[in-house]
Amino acid sequence: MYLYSLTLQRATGVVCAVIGSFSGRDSKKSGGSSSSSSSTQEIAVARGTTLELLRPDPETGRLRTLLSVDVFGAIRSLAQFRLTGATKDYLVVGSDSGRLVILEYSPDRNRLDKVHQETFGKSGCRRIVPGQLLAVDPKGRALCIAALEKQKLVYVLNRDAAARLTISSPLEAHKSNTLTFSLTALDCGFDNPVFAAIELEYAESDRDPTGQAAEQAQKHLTFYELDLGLNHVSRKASEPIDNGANLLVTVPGGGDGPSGLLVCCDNFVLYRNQGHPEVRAVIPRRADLPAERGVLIVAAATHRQKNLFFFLLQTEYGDVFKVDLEYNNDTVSELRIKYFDTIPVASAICVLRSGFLFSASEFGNHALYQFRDIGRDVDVESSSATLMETEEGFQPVFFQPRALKNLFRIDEIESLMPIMDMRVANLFDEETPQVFTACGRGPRSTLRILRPGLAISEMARSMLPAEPIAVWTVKKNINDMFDAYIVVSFANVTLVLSIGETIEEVSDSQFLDTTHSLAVSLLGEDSLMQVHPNGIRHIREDGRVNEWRTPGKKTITKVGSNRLQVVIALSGGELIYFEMDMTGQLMEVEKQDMSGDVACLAIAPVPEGRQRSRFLAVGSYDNTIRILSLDPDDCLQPLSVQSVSSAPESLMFLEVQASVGGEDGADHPANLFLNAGLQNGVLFRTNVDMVTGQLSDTRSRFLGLRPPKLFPCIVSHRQAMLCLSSRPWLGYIHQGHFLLTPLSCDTLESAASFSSDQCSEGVVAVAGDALRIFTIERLGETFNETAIPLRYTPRKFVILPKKKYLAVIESDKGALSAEEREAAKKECLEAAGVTENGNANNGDQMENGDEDGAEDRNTLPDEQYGYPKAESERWVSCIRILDPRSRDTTCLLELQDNEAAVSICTVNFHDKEHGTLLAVGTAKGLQFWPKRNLSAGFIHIYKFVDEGRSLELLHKTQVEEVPLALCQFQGRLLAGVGSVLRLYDLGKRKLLRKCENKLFPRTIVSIHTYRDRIYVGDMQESFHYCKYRRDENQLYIFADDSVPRWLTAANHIDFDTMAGADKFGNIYFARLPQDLSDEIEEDPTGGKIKWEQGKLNGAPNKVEEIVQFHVGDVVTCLQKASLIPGGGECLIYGTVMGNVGALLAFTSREDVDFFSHLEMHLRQEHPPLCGRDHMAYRSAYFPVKDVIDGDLCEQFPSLPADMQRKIADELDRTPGEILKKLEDIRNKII
Amino acid sequence: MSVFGGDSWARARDAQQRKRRLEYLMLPASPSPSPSPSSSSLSASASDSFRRLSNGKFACLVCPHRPVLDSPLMLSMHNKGSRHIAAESRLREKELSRQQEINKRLAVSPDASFSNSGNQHHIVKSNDTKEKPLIEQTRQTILEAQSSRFIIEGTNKKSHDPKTSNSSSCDSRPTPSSAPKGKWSRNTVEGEHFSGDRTATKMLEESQANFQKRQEQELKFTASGWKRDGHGRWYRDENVEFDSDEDDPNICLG
Repeated sequence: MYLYSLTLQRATGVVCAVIGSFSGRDSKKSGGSSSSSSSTQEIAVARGTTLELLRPDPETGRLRTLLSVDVFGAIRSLAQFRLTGATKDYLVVGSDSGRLVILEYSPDRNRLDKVHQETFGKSGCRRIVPGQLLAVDPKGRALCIAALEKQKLVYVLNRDAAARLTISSPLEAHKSNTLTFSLTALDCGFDNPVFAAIELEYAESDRDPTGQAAEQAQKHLTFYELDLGLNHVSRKASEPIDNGANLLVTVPGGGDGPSGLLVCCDNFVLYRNQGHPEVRAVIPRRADLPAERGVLIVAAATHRQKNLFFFLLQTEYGDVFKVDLEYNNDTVSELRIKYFDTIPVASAICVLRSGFLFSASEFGNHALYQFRDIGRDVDVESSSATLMETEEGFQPVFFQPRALKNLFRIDEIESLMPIMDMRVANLFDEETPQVFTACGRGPRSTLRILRPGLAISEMARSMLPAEPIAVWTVKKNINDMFDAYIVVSFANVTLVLSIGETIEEVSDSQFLDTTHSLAVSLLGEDSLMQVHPNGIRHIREDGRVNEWRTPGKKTITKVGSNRLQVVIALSGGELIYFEMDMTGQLMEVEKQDMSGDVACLAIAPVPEGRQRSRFLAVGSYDNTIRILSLDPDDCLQPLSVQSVSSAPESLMFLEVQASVGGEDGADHPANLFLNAGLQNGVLFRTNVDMVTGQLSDTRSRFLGLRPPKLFPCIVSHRQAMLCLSSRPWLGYIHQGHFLLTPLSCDTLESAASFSSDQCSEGVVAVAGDALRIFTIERLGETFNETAIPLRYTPRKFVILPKKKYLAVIESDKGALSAEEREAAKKECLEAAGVTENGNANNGDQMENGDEDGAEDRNTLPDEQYGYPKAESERWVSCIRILDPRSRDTTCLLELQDNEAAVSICTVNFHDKEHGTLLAVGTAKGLQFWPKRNLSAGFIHIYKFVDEGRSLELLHKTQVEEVPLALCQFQGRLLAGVGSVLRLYDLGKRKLLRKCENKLFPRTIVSIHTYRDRIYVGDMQESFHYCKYRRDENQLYIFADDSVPRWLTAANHIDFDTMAGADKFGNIYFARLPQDLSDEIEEDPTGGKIKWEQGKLNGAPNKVEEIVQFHVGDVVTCLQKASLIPGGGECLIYGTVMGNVGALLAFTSREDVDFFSHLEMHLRQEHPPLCGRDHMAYRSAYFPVKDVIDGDLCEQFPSLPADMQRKIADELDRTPGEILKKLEDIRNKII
Repeated sequence: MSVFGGDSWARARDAQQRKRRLEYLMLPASPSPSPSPSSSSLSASASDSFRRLSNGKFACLVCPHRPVLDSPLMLSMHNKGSRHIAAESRLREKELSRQQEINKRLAVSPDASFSNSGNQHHIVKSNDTKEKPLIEQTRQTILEAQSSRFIIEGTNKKSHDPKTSNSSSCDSRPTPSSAPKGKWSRNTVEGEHFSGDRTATKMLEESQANFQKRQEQELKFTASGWKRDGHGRWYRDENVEFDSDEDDPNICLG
C-alpha cells in the first residue's frame, strides 16, 4: 500500500511568536505620504512545523497571513534581531535540526531566504543539543543558543564590506550538569554583550543518595559576558536567586533605561542587575484563588517608545499585568505591578508599535487587541515600595478580574488546538460530509464543525417580489470606486436598485424595465448598456438613449461583452459583432452565421493599452467551443476549436496579470484562461495562447450536479471567478496559486461582484426570491468552521446515528462544578457590591454555558477569564447530548462525586428490550501524581428518553480500573478495564461480566471490532488482534505487534489491517500477513489458537508494519472517510496542534513512481527551510515507508521557474503537467 | 496431381482435411501402450500422457523433458522407447505413493480439512469412505462439532473471502432457517441415496433443523457462561456473573 500524505489544514496552534519588521518596508510607501518613518511590523509565528508571517492591517484591523511555509522540522524557538543601522530584521530559528538558521524575508518575492545555516549538533529534540533557548543581543551583535542542559553556544554577528550579515564560528559556554530554565540577553548599550540565564546545578543532588542535596538545590542567575575584543565568552557572575524563578525579561538599557532584568518567579517579580540590590514586588492574586496555588508568569512582552517602556506580563490564569520601573540612571528604586486586563492564557504575546497586542493563545483562538489605554487609570497595584513582610511571608495583594478596559479585541484567528476527537460524517445531508472536531481545553472548549470551503459573511439579505433569474452591478463611470446600480432581471421585468446609503429601487435610470434583461454593463468610459431579447439599449452619460433593434422576428439569445466590444447571438445562430467607436457610438462591425444555435458567448477582457480584445469564445450545442478572432482583418474567423464532453452552458475568460511576486503572488507571466461550465456539471479550464488563440493545457473538474454558470468577481484586488453549480465555487489566485474552492452557502442562481463604501469587495447574488450581499472571508483556507461552546475539555464523542445527535463527554481537573461556580460567583459579586441585576440570566448561563451572547450578559465569561481554580485533585465532568443542526444542548448531565468520564460508546444489547443504550466509562478520584491511582471506575449505562434527546441512568457497574475503552461486540459490551479486556452483558441491576482476558501488557486504550475479530490497542504496546470463541466463551489473543508503540489513536482499515498513531507523532499501519490470517481463519477445530506458543513474550503471530510516517505532531484521532462526494476513502487525522491531514492510497503504480521521483527531486533541490533533512524528519522514529509527502510535493509551484523546468525535464514532463498532477491528486482528497 | 487421390485442387484440400481427420481419429486408437490400467485414477493419467499442440505436433507429457513429436506415428514410436517407459513407471509410482499418503492422513488425522477439498479429494471420499469407517466417523464428528459454524457462515454472506470464511462472525445472530445451505448439504447427499423419498428428506431436514436449533441454544448458554460437566449437566462458570432470573439450561434444554 502506498499513501499520499497531504495536510488539509495546517497546524493552528502557536508555539512561539516574535515581532519584528522583517519586510523592512515603509508603512506609508504605498499611500504616497512618506511622513511616517516607522516601518511596518510583522509577527513571525511558529506553529509546530510551519513558520508564518502575519501582518495586522491597520485599516481593517485584521491579521493577514503574508506567508506560510512548512519547514519539515519542529520549530522550538524564534528570535529576531537587527544589525545596527539596518532597517530590516532577521529571523533566527532554533529547531530540532541541530542547526541554527538565520532567515531573511524578501517582500518582493514573498519568501523567506536562508542567510546562514550553522550546524552545531545532532538533530532531534534532545536534552543537551541547543535549540530550545535563544537570546539575541539587543544591538544585534551576538546571539546565544542554548540547550536545556549543559550546552550554550554564542555566535558573533557582524557584517562584511558588502553589508551582508556574517556569522562567526561558535564560542562555547558549556557547563555540565546544569539545567537552564530561561535565557535572555541584557541590554547594555554598546558594552560587551551579556547573556543571563536561570540555571540549576544538579551534580551534587545526583550524587547524594540521601536526597538532602536535592532539597537544598539552589537556582542561580548566571551572567555570561562575550568579550568582543578577546572573542571569548566568560561566566562572569552567578548569584543565587529565588527557587521559583522561571522567566527572564530584558529591561532596556544603554541610555533608554536602567538595563538589567526582570526575573519572574512564583508569586513575585524581581528586578535584578549585576551589582544592584534586588527589588521585589508581589504579583497580585485573584481573590478566589486557593491559598496553596502560586501565580506564575507564562508570557511577557516589552513595549518601548522613545522615552517610555513598560512590560506586560501574563500569569498562568490569564491576567495581564503592566510592570513599570521607577529608576534614576542605573538605579531602580521601585517596581510596580498593576493589573491591566485579563485575556486567555497565551503562549506568546507581542506588542506592536501601531498600538495592537497580538496574543497567541495557548489553546483556542488567537486574538488581536487594540490598546485603548496603557493602564494609566487607578487600579489594583502592588509595588516594591509597599511590600510588607510578615511572619507568614510576604503580604499578598488581591484583585478581582474585571471586563476589558485597556484592551479591545478587534480580530480573532481561529485555532483548533488541541483537537481531542474527530468524526467525519454527513449529518446535515449536504453535498460533502462535515468534520466534527472536539477542540480546546477547559472553559474555551468547543465543538467545531468544519466544512470544506470558504466562509462567507452575509451583509444583507432582502426579499424580492418574485424569483429573479439574473443580477448585475454597474458603475456609472469607469473611474468610480463603487457600483451605482444593482440590476435584477425577473422573467419579464427588470428591476433597478441604486446603491447608496441604502439600497432602493429607482425608476430614473433609463433602463428598460418591461422586459427581462440578458446583460447589463458599463460600456466605454461612462455609458451603460442593457441587452434585452429585442435589442440593445445604449444609455449615454447625458441621458440620451440609443436603441438597436433586432431584425425581423429574431430575438437575442446570448450576449458576450467587455468594456468596448459586444457580441450578440440571435435565435437561429447568427452572430452580430459591435464595437464602440471613437465617438462612443456602438457600431455594428460584422455578421456571421453559425451552423446552429449558440449555447454561450464570451469576449476576453480588453488587454491593457489595447483597443480591443482579440478573442471571442463561442460554445455550441455540438459540444464544441470555438475561438473566433475579433481583429478587423479576419473578423469572426475561427482560430481554434476545442471539443468538450458535454454542451457548454457558460463561458468566461479569466485574465491573470503578469506578476513578479510581491506580497501575495509568485512569479508568473500574464496568462489568459478560458473557463467553460459544461452541462454535465464539469468546469473545463484551458489556457489560451495570447497571440495565436490556440488552446492548450486543459483541465476539468466536476463541480456539482447543475451546469456551472460563471461570473466574474474581484477577490483581494484580483480578477476571480464565481462558478455557480449545485453549490457555489470560487476560482481565485492565492499566494501565487490558482485555487478552486467551494463556498459554504446554498445554491445561488446568479451573482455579480459588488462594491460599495461599506463593503469594498463583495458579491451580490440571487437565490430563490432573495437578494443576498456577502463577502468571502479567510481566503486560502480549506475549511470554514462553526463553533459550539462546551463546558469542560471534551474527551471523546460519538454520533448517535438515528437522530444524528452527538454525545460528548467532557471533563476537567482542578475546577469547580457549575453549581459551585455559580455559588462562588454570586458570593463574589455580593462581596464586591454588585447587584444581582447585572447577572439576571445566571440560571440560563449555568444551564448551557454556550450561548453566543453570554459575554454580554455575564460580566466575567469563563471563556476569557478561565474557571475559578479548585484543589488540583478535583474532577468535574459532564455528559452532553447535542443537536449539531440547531446547536442546542438537549441534555447535560453533570457527574457528581469527583467522577470523570473517560470513554463513551453506543451499544445495542442483543436480547434486551431497551434498544440503543449509551455506555460511559468513568473514573472516580483519578490522580496522576505522584502515582496514578483512583478510588473506583464505573461503567454507566444510559437509556435514551424523549426521542433520544435526553438520557436516563439505567445502572452503573463498578470496575476496579479505569475503563478507557468501550465497544459494542456481538450484542454485548467489550470494555478495556485497565489491562483487562472484558465482555459484559446487560443485567437487571448491573453489567454482567461474561468473559475476560487478562493477558494485555499495560492499559487498553482502544477497541475496534470487525466480524469476530477484536482489535485492541494497548497504551504502550501497539495492537493486539483477538478472537472471541462462543463455543468456549473465551477471548484469545492471536497476534500482536513486535514494536512497542505508545498508542494515541487507532482506526480499523480492513480485516487484517489497523492504522495507529503513537505519541511521538508517527502514523503507522499494522497488517497481519495474508497467509497468517488465512491460517487463523482456517483453524476449524480451534485447537491451534488455543495451544499455540507465544513468541517474544506475546502472541504467537506478529503483525507487520506496512506503512510508517512521521507527522511531527501528536495525532489524537484517525478516521477513514471521504471528503468529496464519490471520492475515494482516505484516512483523516487530527493532531494536538490543530492540524488536519489526510492519507490517500494510490491506485496506480505510475502515480507512485511519479510522486516518489518528484519527492526525491524536491528533497534534493529544495531542502527544508529550518535545516532539517526532509527524509530524516519523516523518518524521525521509524524509517518512512511507502508514504509520499504531498506537502513537500506541493512546494513545487513555489520553486523558481528554471528549477521547475529542470525537475520536470528529469521526470520527462513539463512543469504544467506536474502542476496538473498535483492538482488532480489534491482534488481526489478534497 | 494430388497424392491423396482426385486431381482437382479443391479436392486436394478436402483430401488433406480428411487425412488430418483420420489422424485425429486414430489418435485415441494409438495411445501410449500403457500396460493394463489398474486403477481408475491411473487410467485418467494415461489418457493425457500426450498433448496435441496448436501446430499439430504432439508433446509427450510423461517424459520429464516434454519431447515434441511431429506425428502420431512418431509419438507411438517414442512411447515404445525405453526412456519413456522408465519415466512412465516413475510417474505411476509417485501417483501411488501420493494416493497412499492421502488415505493414511485421512484415516489418522482428526481434523481433516474440508476447505481445501480439491477434485481429488472428492473422488477419494465417494470411493473409499465405505472401506474407511474411521474416516467416516471422524468426518461426522467434525461436522457435528462445527455445524454451528457453518450455519453462521450461511447467514453471513458478506464474508471477506469465501475460501477463508470458516468461522463464526460477529454481530449477526444466526438463524437456523437459512442454515442447510452450502457445505451442510454435502452431508444430506449421503442421506438421499438411502431413501430417495422426498418426505424422508424433508423429515431429515426437519430433524436437522431442530438439531441446529438446539445446538444454537446450547451455544448461547456457553457464551453466557454456562459449562458442562462430564455427565452433560450444566453448571455456572465461577468467573462469570449471572442475572438473578437467568434461564437454567438444565431445565430449558432438559
